[in-house]
Amino acid sequence: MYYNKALFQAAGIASPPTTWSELVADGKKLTHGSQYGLAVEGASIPENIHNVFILSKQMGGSFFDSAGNPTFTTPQNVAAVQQWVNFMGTDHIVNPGDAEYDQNQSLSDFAKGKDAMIMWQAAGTALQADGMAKDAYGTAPVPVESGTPSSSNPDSMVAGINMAVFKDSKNQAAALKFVNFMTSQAESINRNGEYGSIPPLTAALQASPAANQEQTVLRNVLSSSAEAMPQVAKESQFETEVGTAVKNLMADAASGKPVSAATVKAQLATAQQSMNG
Amino acid sequence: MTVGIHRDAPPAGSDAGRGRTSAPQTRSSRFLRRIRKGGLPYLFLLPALLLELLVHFIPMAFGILISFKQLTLFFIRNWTGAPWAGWANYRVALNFHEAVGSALLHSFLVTCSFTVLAVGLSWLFGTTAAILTQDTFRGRGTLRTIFLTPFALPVYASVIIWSFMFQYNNGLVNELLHNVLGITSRPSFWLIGHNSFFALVIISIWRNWPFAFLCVMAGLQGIPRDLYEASAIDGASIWQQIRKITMPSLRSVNQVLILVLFLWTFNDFTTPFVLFGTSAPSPADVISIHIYNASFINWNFGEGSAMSVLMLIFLLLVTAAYLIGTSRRRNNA
Amino acid sequence: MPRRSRGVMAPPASFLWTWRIVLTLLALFALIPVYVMISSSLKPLQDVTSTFRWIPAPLTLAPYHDIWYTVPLARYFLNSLIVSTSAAVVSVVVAIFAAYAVSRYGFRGKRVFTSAVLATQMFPGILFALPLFLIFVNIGNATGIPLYGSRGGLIITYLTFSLPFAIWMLTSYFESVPKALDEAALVDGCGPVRALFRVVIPAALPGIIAVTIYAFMTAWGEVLFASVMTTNATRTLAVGLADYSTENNVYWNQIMAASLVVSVPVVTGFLLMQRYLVSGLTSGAVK
Repeated sequence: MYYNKALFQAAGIASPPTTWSELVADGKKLTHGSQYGLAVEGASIPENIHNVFILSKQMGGSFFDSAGNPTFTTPQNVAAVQQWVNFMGTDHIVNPGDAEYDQNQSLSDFAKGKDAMIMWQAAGTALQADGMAKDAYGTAPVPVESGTPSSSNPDSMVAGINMAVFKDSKNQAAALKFVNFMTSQAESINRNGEYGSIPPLTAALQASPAANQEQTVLRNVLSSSAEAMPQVAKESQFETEVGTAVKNLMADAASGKPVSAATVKAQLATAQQSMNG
Repeated sequence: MTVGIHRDAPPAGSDAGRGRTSAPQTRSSRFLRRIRKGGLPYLFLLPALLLELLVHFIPMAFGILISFKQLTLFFIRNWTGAPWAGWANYRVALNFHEAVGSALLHSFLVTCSFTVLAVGLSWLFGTTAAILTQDTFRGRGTLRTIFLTPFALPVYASVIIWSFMFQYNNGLVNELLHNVLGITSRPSFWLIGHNSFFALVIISIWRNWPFAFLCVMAGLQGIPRDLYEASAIDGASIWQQIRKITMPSLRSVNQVLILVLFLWTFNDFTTPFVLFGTSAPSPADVISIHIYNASFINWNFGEGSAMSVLMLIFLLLVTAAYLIGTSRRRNNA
Repeated sequence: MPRRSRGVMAPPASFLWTWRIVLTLLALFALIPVYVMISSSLKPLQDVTSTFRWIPAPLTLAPYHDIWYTVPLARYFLNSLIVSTSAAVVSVVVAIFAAYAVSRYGFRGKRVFTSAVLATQMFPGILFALPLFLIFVNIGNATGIPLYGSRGGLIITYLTFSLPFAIWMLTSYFESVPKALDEAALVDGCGPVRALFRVVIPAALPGIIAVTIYAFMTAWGEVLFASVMTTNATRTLAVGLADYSTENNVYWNQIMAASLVVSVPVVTGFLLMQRYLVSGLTSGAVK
């Protein structure tokens, strides 16, 4: 989570929130005039699903059972979606206009000081490109329900892009060589130097220390309290279906319509049916 | 005045012309000539036929074939390996009680209402403008050019401009409606939520009404002036003139115009795609985007194909009904 | 003010006012978005991402310079140019022969052919996008011919809509060329092919040009096939404009400038030939 140090100081908040109730309370203090407490990329499917996933995990929920079947309509999932959407709908700490954002406008809003907090992945470079000074923002782990973050109390998710070599590939040897290259030690260290991305290999991780506070926080979160997205074959369809459902609910919240548990459950049920279809 | 679209035109009476060529021939050259004569049109047609086969009929047949298979992303490179699904894809698509089917039905209804509204208003605007600019006046040429510009812009450019204008925070539309004119008490959402349907309609009308304007304008040129003069002498008001003279004369133009507009609007993929990206909000989920999502986003080509085939059947029925209906009226008139 | 060439009665004053108001509203409706495009293309980035203002102040031409660097616009332009021109030319050339056959000859299966051409015009692109995508991918695997992601492949997909349209329009233009002209040429000893080139094509030339330009325009604006069938190297403008939304920002001023730049060719072409286009469309209806 990134937060605007100046805005926090102005509102008299000493340190970033560590629990959700703290976040909502802080958010309300930070919301006045045209300024809002939290920036959310409301129309972005990945952002919606990733955050809802984390919230659900924190409540002990899961979107798939151990056999890989979708379990979207469990109470924890419904509660997670509601919590996420209600930051805008009932807590009013998110600008309703955010419900329309899917081209990183929330990031540039945060950079311009219109919002005080944002939950994002490795946003440092982007924020600076938008004109925000390096010391104007601070990095902190995403809040949890209660207690301290750990592997059983996650505050983040890990996802990635897969590399696959097809069975009928014409240049299998070369393709495998490429995969080896991309997942090699040297290359991971290289990318870390270039983009600040966290190396996925333990040895490479130890060989390239974190360059700043932001990277330190991210690395800690990754190693101690991040949960992997569901490892099922239809994962991308899951993200699309549930992400779209959340996007629609967020749009409802933005236009002032109440988002009840029943509405959420109905949307998740439809998403689940589409998975099987 | 012959009325109707060109495919009903009388066959070219060229036999008389051809018969008159040259001097007496020997038997073999007469035979050759007969082959050439008989085969010539087919020869001319050959490139078109081959291309049509390649780009239309083979893909359509293939599409129908795929709709009976369970073709997901794992089988793209190896479509023969995809398991046969029989009628399953169709059953899923038409099962209106389940998610996929009801979404398809909803999308179909959205598309129908979108098309009716957009085509109706485009036609209305176009006809109004054409009638009002029927007579010459100073500046008519400039006005015509102004009217035609929206149609001339590439569709994606138009949609991008409108999506910029429809933004919640900084868009011109909300600025006008909320700040300047004070019509709405709060800024409204146009790209998500209920209004997204109307955003789509507005953009479609903006783009298409100049085409209606163009067609009706051309049609009006065929109406003889004296009809109006005679009726004016008889004391007819402008409205009566429009109803009794203009509209009936435009019937054939309108038939083609409405059909073309209907097909363009119903099949429009560019406008919703550029406006909403790959996930259209539910009130504006038109069928072309819906099928695109089912195929290229959810990677279920079998299902997407089944939906396309259903859409095709619907369009064939509508066009057939329209053509039969309009030709019958023509025959009775 | 209209000079009513018809009529004993002058139109009532109330009608004149309605006339003025309606036409003004329509003109505003048509023009305001165009104005937004032009004025936004002249604003610096922060002006275009904050509250909308009618007059750009300060005025800057920088977006027109930046658009070529933010995104490989020149490459997209070239791709669009190649693909649209080829699709238009191929469609029209093939259609000329087909239209000549349909308008000048009666033959068995003519009705079927013309109905089929008309029918394919009403099919949505998505119907063909899927199968063509699969066909191209599989041909590419089986034979090594790169159709997916190549310009040639894209041109082929564009034929799905430009070919039937060209045949339809050209048939109606050719039919408006009097057959007496053909027959005169044939009497003079020309074969049918020479008659086509000597007589019919020159007579229908405005229509042919109009159809070519219109086919070019439709190909220029095509989004569905372009988004499915192209890769970075072969991307066309239609899809390329989306690249102006990056990780950090949506460069609205550049998007508007780019929109203007890519619209200029087609707008000029259309305004030049719109008269002929409509006459072709409606000549089938009103003879």
